Amino acid sequence: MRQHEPIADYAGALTRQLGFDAALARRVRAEIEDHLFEAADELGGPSPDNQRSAIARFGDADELARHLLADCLLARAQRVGLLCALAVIGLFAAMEIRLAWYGFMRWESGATLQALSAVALPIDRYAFFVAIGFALAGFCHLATQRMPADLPSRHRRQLNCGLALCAAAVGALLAAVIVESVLTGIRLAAMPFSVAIVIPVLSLLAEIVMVAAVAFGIATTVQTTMAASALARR
Amino acid sequence: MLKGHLDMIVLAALAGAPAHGYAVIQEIHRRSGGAFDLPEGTIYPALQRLEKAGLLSSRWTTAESGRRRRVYTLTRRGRLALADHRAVWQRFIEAVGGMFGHADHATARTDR
Repeated sequence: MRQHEPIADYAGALTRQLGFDAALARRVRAEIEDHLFEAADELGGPSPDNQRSAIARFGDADELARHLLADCLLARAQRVGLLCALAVIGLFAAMEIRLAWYGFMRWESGATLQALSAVALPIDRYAFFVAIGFALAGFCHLATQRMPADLPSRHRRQLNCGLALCAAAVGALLAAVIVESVLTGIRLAAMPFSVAIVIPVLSLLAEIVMVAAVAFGIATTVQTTMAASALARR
Repeated sequence: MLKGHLDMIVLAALAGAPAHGYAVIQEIHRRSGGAFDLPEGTIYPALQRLEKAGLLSSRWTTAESGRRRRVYTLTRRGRLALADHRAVWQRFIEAVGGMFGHADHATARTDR
């Protein structure tokens, strides 16, 4: 029965190729099915021959997927670059808010915390500086990229380079967040439970969410570049 | 022939009234006198790109056939962009016309 449904087969093939973005795939499928059935109707009705003629006029599914993928890939990569830069700013703000809160609450550091801070704070600081450098480089690199519709490997490598810079920034940010978590944990563990600890806990959670969001963005964009590589090889 | 001009052509096709993808391609074919006989699927990435750029907006409707249909409308920014394209294109036509006119004139002088 399947051989009598060329439009459904064509739309299905295209949807599978756009599997990296479910919303885009659904939208494109609905639009293209409407287009192809209308074209087939104009040829005299949705017979298999008319469906095949409509598909022939429509063009190659791989070619269409490549065009859609090129736009999507570049937009995703640039969004990751922006997200990475915003995460650095967000982390800085969260750290400053926490420190200001400690000052406002007049929370003193104990001897253990002071000894640990002497070692951990320089690591935190340098990790953060490294993250700023990588994030800025990644953001600038990705923001200036272009992606032609034929997905050339040179352009894909450039995107991967930008994503690698963002990944390095995430690594450095993660190091900073781990140090912050340990120091904050030690500080809060020594204190009696009160509502006042909500601010440092929330600021720390915000840092973790920001780093996780960038890491997730990088992972999904890498998946998209892999789909692009597979399509470009066809 | 269309390379680099597809976005402008799609905007121009939508200048008259909102339309779905199939109607856009029909309009391009009709207004170009059949000269722009591009693969019909080509316009969908262009429609998506123009929508992302804020030059088009779109919404789902239901066609008479009962199928879901996405209809595109030129936004205010889209109309401004089309006006810009049109002005640039007009200058280009005049410049090329001048070049050809000059060349024709020169050829006529040589023939004399």
